Amino acid sequence: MDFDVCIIGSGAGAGPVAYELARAGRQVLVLEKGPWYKTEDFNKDELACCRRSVYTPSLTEERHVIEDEDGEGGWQATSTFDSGNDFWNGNMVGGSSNLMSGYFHRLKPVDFRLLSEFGPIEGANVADWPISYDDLEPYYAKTEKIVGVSGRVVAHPQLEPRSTADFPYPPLQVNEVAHWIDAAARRLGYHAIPTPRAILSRPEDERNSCYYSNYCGSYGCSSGAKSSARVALLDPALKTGKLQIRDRAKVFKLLSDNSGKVTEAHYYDRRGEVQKVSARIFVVACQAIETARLLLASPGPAHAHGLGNNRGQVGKNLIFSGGGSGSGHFYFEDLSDEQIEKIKLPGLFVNRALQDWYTIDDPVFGRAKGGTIDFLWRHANGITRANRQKWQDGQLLYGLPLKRKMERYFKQSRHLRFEVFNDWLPTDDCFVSLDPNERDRWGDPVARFRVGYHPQDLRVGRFLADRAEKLFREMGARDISSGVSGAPPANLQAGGCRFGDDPAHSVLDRDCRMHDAPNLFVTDGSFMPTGGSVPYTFTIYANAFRVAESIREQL
Amino acid sequence: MTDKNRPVPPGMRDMKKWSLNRRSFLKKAGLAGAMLALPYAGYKLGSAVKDMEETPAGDESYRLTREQFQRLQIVQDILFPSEKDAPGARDINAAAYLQAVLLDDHVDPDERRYLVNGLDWLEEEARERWEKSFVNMLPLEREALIEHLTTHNWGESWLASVLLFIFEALLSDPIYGGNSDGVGWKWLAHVPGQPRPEHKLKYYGSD
Repeated sequence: MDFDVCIIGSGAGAGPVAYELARAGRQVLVLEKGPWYKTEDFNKDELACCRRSVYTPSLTEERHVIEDEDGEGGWQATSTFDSGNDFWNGNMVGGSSNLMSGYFHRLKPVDFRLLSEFGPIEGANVADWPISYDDLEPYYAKTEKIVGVSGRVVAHPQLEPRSTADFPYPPLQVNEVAHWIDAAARRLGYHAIPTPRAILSRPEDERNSCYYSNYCGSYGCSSGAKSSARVALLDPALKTGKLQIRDRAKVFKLLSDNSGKVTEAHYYDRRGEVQKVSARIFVVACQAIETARLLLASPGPAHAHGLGNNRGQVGKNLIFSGGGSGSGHFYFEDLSDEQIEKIKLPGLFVNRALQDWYTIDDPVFGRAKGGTIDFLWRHANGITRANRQKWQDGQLLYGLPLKRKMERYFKQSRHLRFEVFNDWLPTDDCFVSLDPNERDRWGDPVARFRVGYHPQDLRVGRFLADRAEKLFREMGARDISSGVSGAPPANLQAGGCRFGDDPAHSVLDRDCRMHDAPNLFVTDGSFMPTGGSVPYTFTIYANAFRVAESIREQL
Repeated sequence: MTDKNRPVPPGMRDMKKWSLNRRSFLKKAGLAGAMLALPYAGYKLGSAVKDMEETPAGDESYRLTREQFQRLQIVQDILFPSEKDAPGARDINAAAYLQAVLLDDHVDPDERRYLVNGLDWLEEEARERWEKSFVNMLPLEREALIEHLTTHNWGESWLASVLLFIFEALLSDPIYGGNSDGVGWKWLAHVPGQPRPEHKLKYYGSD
């Protein structure tokens, strides 16, 4: 055996496993497809982060095929190379946790038992989790401490139980507009809560504190404050001498024997040559779509249709996040000089959320699972903001009128946004398969996924967006608008390898060990039967810490 | 004006269709007199060539001819004119910036080809409707042609794409050749993030 544990992927699902097992004295190998950027390699170049393929592969070399509704009751498949709809996230050591905004809300007890709580929904595959919130809670606390989450606990009607009184790091500094949100919420009877962030508010060991760069989401962090799997977990784990990371190592197949056990990982190294690694235990954490793809591409003597796929469950019940977003404008002509000076201060966060309707109990809407509303400034990216100004009432604006509009936008106003998160219900029309035709640059079939959504997702999203708009009106924002969409966000993937006690309806057991392959674990978001109404990364980190204990016991 | 065979690459179909009010748009676009103030006379063939020669080497089939480059500068000046206190396309090297993008083999080839083709389709429209070359048209005539293009599928998408790269030239870090001395940032009081890049970006997969 080359290693005790071989981990495929290096993001939020991989980091905790590498950290715990290396510190336990085990020989761990991490294989990461992308390159290894260090903190000093990151900067705030808008072209690099957001307008060119620097952190993601070129679509000519690696792509997806997406099946979308064709408008006539059927499905149409288009490769992302043809559509230009890039579905990659950050491919690098630490994964997309290097680029996340780090909104770290926990799931709540109700999320673990949606079927029992609300009953089945026609056309959706809602299922209870095999574990409860209490099983995961200690690991949320552990993630807050080890990975680094800053915030402030406030009592509110939907607050989940906590074993620790508060977050280990104090809340980040906020912009004046956060207080406007607080005041407006109070007047409406809402409960504005501070948003916990996976960002350090003070230095810790080798990581510096946040310096309020104003360019957080989509960018790598130049201080080490953002709690990526790389700086929070992999860098400390490397110090044990027990962890090896191989970057530019693209795993394309897992081999297994007659008993179903995984024996080897095969990968292309940076020269394109095939390398093989053996280990006692394998962990897959490539993000839900690529994880399902790897498993489907790895048939074996006991896995005729791909690893773990004897009952056709791998890739099924893929989920994203439902919701939408909206915006409101504050024009300086409506504000006092003092107000203008305060909200113009760049870099400070908004960090406010509403979870009053995490469960909805409304006379008109009924009783249903709801979601979260997060508030934030429009992203500071200049090119993106400028580009939005060229459209006016459906017409292209140019020349002097365009320039005047740009001046008003940049210099005479500020723009607040909200993002709605609600459950993307698992359905039979959202799943991963291998594409029969498209190949990646190594000649392997790419992932194909259908992105059907459930109408309930939009109903809940609209309900929440309406309440967010009401808050914006109460704040005095103008030109308020919002949109709710069934389009899948690429950075919020889960499902595809549901965990459960019944092998007939799940791929993994409650410890995220594959039912049919006792030495294979899946620790990214694939395990989730339902997603909850919050971004996934916090739960992925916490669950990976939980699963790491089972792996350690098994070794 | 027919579409002929002028397909718009998917990545460049960024149109939003809301209700139109063409009359008020024409008024706001100031087509009546403001455009005469534009310094077309400032274009010298020599300076255009110098800009072109400074761009890096790439797939040479995307290098603009002298006349295509002139057409581009004129279009960019209409889309984003220079003013005393607010930079325009020429102040941010927008044409040289776009030439560099066209020679960047990592930028989608269909989109690059489309940007170049648009300069030739523009010329075809000029000859068809005004019976002269675009660079020889009078300023008001060019204005009218650009405005006419916005009513048409490929024209609106093409102009929107040219504008996008003007915005890049306006607000990207000056190491990319635009935004001279941060003039774009200063105009819009835009504060870039720190740290700024020390060298140009490296594409995924390049060593």
